[in-house]
Amino acid sequence: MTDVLLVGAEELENLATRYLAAVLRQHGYSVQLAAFSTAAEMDAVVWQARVTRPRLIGLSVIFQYRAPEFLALAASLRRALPRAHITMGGHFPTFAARELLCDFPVLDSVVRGEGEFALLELVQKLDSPEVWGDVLGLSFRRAGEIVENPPRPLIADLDALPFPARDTPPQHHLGVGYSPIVGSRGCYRDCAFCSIRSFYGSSHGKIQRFRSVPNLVDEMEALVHRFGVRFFVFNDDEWFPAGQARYERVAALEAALERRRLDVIMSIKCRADDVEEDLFRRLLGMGVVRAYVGVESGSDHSLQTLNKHTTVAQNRRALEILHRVGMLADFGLIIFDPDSTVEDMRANLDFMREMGGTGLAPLSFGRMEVYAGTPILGRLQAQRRLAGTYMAWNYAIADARVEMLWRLMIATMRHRQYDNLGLAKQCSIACYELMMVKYLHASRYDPALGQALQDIVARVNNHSLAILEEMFDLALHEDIHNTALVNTQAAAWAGRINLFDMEMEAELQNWRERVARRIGA
Amino acid sequence: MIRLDKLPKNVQKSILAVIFFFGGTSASCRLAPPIVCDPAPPPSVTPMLCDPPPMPSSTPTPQVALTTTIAPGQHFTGKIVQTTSNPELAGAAVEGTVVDQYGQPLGGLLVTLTRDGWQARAISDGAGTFSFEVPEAGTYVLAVEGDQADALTLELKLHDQVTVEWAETWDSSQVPLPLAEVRTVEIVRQDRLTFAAATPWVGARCGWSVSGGTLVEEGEHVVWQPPAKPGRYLLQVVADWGRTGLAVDAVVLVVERDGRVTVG
Repeated sequence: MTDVLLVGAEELENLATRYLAAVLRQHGYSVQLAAFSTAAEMDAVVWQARVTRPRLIGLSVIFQYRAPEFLALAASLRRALPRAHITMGGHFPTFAARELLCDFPVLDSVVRGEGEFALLELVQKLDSPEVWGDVLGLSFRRAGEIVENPPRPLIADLDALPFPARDTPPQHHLGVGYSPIVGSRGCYRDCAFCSIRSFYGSSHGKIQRFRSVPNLVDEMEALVHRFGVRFFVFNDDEWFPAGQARYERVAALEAALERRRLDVIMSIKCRADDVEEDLFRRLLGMGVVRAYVGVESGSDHSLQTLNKHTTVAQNRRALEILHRVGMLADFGLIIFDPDSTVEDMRANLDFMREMGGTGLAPLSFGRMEVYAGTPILGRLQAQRRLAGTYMAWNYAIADARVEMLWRLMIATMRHRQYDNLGLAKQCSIACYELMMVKYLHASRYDPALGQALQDIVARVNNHSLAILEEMFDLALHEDIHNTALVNTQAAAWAGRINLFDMEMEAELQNWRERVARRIGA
Repeated sequence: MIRLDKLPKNVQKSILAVIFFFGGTSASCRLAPPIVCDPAPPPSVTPMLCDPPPMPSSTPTPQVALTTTIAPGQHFTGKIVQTTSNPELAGAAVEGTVVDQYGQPLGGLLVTLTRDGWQARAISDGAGTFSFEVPEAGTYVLAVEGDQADALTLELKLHDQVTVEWAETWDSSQVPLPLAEVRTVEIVRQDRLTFAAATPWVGARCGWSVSGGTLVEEGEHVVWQPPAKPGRYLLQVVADWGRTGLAVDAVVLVVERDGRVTVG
């Protein structure tokens, strides 16, 4: 029998559940982790619960679209262990605590905001429900009513947290151990589509907080020595502090890594206005080989809708700097938003061709989704533009021609752009692989591999762009209410996309085999 | 707005019974009992290092087969095309089609036939067709999606076989766009080279194609006859729900040099 079973997605090591586990264990509780990355793992999680018989089960929900699967899992767990306390935490449950507790009696409570110490206190008081009202950050049911306790103050000193509980060796790829890690929590900006600021902002305390560099490097060093990790994937909400403090933090990290002789590579996430050439040359020199830049749009009008506080000129400059420096510049684009116009579409298509046409990075693009806790949710609610429910909001883009383009895109490119096995995601993974070979198998790196991958990525990007241009042309010049016309065209595009993807997947597989032969994997 | 999953359980059950009884789908699409639109898990050797793109929140994951819903401004105008006498009928029969404003079939619509508290329901299939048999003569009311304002009154005599056509119309300011919902379809391998299309939504017309070899349609399935030439071939299905949505799935079929066939 164990005290707590924590369940979360495990495509990459889940740091949310590992931080929770570390704090609970620090206080003497036994904790097990269960992987629930897809609905297919439901039986395995229930089996693990039956075997370990936890007193409390914690469900960590990061992505809102997976909430229905977690709720179905909760129902199965309830049938298996009728007396266990089932709680849920994460971004979506934080904002939908009341609705979830009203609609899903299978949940006993919801932990809102940063969960480590709220969950600990709940476990400590599990047998005394009469005092649950004292647990800050907890929502629960009492006598048929929903009780929402005041929020718990943010953890001011992240160094006070134990390192995440990494019970198993890290994942390996191309012979390289890699681990996710965070050096901070929170973000200094307030993008319209993002819930990070609301998530932390509903509690008292400074929203963006950083671990000290020594504390961060202690964890990295421990992972290098214990597990042979060579690649750290930073999952910070925003890797940099605002302004000049960026330089101080990078200098401190550079010095610490050098002092401890840690030969590792890193991937970070940042904003376009974080990127400066001198800073990123320095970062590349200390092993940061990839940056995911929140570019979001190639239209200034859309950037205003998204509340990015950046311009297209800044986005272009950021990507150009990264290309010049030689760092892999991944970026995502939200080309559809509630107020997207035909002009925004034209600007985005041009921007995508400019930044993706040569294959330096795979194109990733989609629509602004309306998630719980985001500023855009409040705005669209006030404008009565939302359909759906709190589980999955939907909206129509104001300009019918742009809405048509979005519908055509999602009906035909869904697999390519969104599935894990889709070509866009596979190209992105291949770019990672190239970085691993280039920096961690440097003696065996062949520049021809880089050129071959760039050619593949360019062809995929340009194929997507060509189809999008054709769709845009239909949206602008044809009768977009004519179902037969639209569906016939959509089916034809989907057919072309699938045929093209079949060919390119084979080429990508050949490229991977070349890489494997080259490094002797 | 009528959504099957919002209806009382007993009504859902009877509607589903009707769907299954009438086939409810075109010849080559079938209902999938479980949710089938979860993305496949990545292979264990492939790292998930990428940042996930935002998933469309409009993607529904229905637990039961969904019917189409009637929208504001949408109407259905019905007319009797012909009435014949069929002595083989014990009572009477009504059959018909529902088409959109462009004359394309509309599948997945709930059609009701009522008389003095008695009611029968049917769902239009991928060809937009539906049918009823009634045990006795009388005055019946036929409506699409509960649209009583545009309901059709039928005076049915014994052995009558009535054919009806329903055409959709829209208030001019509310004409909707096609592809209203994000839907999914999945190719399911039934046997060695036999495939079917599975989807939780009713009323799709499924069209199959393959980039090599030939396809033979057998009821709800297709059987692939591979070509002699080794290579990779793509089998695709397009599920078309008219204005409501369109979904495509594809699988790679590989003919090896020794003639063996694998599904990639």
